[in-house]
Amino acid sequence: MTRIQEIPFKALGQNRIVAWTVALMCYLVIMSLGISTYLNDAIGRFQSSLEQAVTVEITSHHQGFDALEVKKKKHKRQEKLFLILKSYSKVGRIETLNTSLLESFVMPWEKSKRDPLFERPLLVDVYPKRGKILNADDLNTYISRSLHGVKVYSLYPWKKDLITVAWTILIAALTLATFISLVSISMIVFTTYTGLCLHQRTVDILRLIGATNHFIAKRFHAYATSLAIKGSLWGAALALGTFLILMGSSLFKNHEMILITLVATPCFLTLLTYIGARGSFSFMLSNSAEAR
Amino acid sequence: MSLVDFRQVSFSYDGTNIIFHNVSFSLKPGSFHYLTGPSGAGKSSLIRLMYADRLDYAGKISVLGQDLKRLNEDQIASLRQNIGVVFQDFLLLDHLSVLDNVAIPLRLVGQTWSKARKVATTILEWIGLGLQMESFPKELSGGQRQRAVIARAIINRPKLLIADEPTGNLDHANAMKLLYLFEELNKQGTTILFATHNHDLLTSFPHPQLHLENGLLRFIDAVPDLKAVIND
Repeated sequence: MTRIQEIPFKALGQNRIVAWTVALMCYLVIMSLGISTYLNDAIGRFQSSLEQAVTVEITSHHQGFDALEVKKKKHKRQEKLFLILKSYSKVGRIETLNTSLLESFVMPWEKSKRDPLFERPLLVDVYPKRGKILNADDLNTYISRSLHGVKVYSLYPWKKDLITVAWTILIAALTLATFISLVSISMIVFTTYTGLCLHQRTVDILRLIGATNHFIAKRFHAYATSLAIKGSLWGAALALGTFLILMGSSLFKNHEMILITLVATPCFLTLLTYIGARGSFSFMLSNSAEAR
Repeated sequence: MSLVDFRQVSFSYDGTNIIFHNVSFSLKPGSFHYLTGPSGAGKSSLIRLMYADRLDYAGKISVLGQDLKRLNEDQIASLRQNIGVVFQDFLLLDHLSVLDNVAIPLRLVGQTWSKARKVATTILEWIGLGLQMESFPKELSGGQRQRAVIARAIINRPKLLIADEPTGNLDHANAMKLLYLFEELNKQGTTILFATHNHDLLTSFPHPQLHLENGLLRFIDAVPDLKAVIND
């Protein structure tokens, strides 16, 4: 048996447009939250590497010579560098940057014309001991005493700026998500209110035969909530598709958070719509009844 | 105790043109009264006051023992659930079938659609609309719509049934059929107030009249059916 509607909401063609608009809004909210999640992760990663770590580069001087000889010399210099670093009292952990990762930075520009004799610089991340601060200049002077062709970089100021930028974008994305949510909810409530005007005759008849404000308002709440559910589920489905594509490019790694966003956003939108509709409609109905 | 009690009730839509002035009457449970008067005398206005559609009157109106002016929105709704009203312009919901239109008052008191539809089916068959149950109001004739409205008005077994010119759109034969139906409901204990200006009905089914004219209400005793008396 088909569901009987005391108030003929389905007779209005605007329903589909509203549901799709809500879907689009929900999609934008989820995407904004997704971007926020990504930025939050990135900020976390940057912050964890903000313990004043420095990067030491052993520059290459041996292009054009015998490849095996170059490799041997490089290995020797690396071993020497490690010994020097370990002897420095403030150094805690030492990590050599993965060669393949380094190569991926310069791809694809270099890929097609790769010279086997071209030596990539060797990069080593150096982390201080707990409670110690590494000064790039001091470390540079210390290493230069025993080993030449070494540069020490500190990425601290750059990373700090990057975190500020990321925070700004994160806050902007969250603000955008909040405003889009509010606009979606307002739009649903407004559309339903328009429905109240369009169905005034039906509402009047129902009142005359004994319908309470609660009975009528409940129909409007249900209608508003169903629009929110339909729209936000479509929006979530679209967002899921987009995330699946983006996950292929390993941009979004925090799958749990994205899953939570996908589930929580439609629920949150629906709940807020219900609360908004409930408050505004009870008020509108009692006002229109008083006007009589 | 009276089911309806009007005490010194005056009413005007705009505050200047008085529709009726100092009207007082009461309806006892189980009674049948006609509300008569020329067109524009204020019969419909008086009925509207009775089901609390307007509360901007002077005086006191009690319906089913409740002072209408003291009721809040929910109490008014609850009162209307106990009054059956046959509206002059039907006021059926066009998007619902006849069956659902009749079933809706039961939905308002919390019954499920399936239960409400069962009761509505019985009433529609009794009232002679068994074949039109799935039709929509626009597909019905005036008489059929009138019967659908009556079915909707009585489905809750109201203590008071108010009919506002229900025979206005009907031919003589259908009007008579309708009166038989009201007589039957009255016999079952329903108090009836029947607004009409059809004199044939007043004589064929004699009941006391409340006659409204020039803003004043007059009580008239039942008019005997003279033809029937002569034939007897």
